[in-house]
Amino acid sequence: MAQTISSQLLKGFLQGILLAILKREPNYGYGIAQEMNRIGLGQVPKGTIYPLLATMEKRGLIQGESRPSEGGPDRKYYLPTADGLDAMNDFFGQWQELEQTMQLMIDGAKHEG
Amino acid sequence: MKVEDLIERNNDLRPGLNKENKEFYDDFLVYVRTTSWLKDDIQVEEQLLAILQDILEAQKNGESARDYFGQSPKLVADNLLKKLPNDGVSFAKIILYTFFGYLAITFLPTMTVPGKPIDIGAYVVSAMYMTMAILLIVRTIGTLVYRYKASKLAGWLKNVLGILAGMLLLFPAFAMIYWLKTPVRINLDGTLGIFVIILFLLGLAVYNKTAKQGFLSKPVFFYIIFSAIIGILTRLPILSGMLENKTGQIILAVLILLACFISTGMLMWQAHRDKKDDDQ
Repeated sequence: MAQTISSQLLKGFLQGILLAILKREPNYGYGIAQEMNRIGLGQVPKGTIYPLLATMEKRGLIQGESRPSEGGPDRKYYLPTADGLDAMNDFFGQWQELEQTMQLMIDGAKHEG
Repeated sequence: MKVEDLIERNNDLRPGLNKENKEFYDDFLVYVRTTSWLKDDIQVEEQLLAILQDILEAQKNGESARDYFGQSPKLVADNLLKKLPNDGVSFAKIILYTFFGYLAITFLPTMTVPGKPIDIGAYVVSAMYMTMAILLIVRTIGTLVYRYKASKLAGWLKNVLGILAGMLLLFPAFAMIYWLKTPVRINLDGTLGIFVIILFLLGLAVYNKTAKQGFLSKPVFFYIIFSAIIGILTRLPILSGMLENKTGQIILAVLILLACFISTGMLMWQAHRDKKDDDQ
């Protein structure tokens, strides 16, 4: 992303982003970090992933399972649960509503400006 | 996986970190382990291992731990620990291991020479004090691990102050054994003494089996076992008479000194080997 996103704003939708990443493919900490870099969230300190994954696992949105990694020891891979997929869909729905609202605000501001 | 296996795997992988990343991760590890006593220790160790594996992978891709993890590892650790479940059993284990470990180190060696009543009360009070002091020291080390580096005091001064503070805190525990007098005194001569020593040895065997990462190193273990064997031998009817003459007393003193030398030698060898592993 050309512009850095405020950390407060990121906090709000990081969970939804992680669920979407894990829905595409179960992944472990560093793998998730690389996916976040790929989609333009390189500015996010990857240490923040771990408490968030712990929270999501505690809430039953994701589950962890041990799987062999390429050329290394077993890693804990995460994948979304049914509750996690519901939460992700809710998040996308809310985001779309918010996006429409924000677009109206931006268009309005441009006209006034 | 058991906690001991997770810790062992962590120990196996950590040497793969470069100097900068090792310093970063070691601080994180010390902080998390010393501030997570009330947390489920399996989950704590699983998180530490996963993070280590990720930092190693980041390192392979040319990324430093600090760049990957971020500038606030303490904040990440605090947030992570908040999310992990509590487990009072882990904390109880720490207290019991510390208490009985200290008691074994101090009590068994006093059993080498029979004939004097042993102030059990003083040993128990000393062990309780030492347990609290050690927990306080470990907790302080953990809490200060990030502040210690940020402090503007010279490195050598920080180390000296730390060691002095530790010694001041621990000294009363040893002083209590010699100067505290309680009414809980018992003569542990003869068969009763042998029974108590064997009981202690059985307790140590259980401790050794259940706590692979326990607080007793091999040299200390050797000294305790040696003291126990001497304690049993000096209480056997066939040998108990030897302490009544000077020759027997000298032989006993030499044996105890020999055990001290061997333990010290083992400790120094272990320290030398650990330093060699760190340097590699």
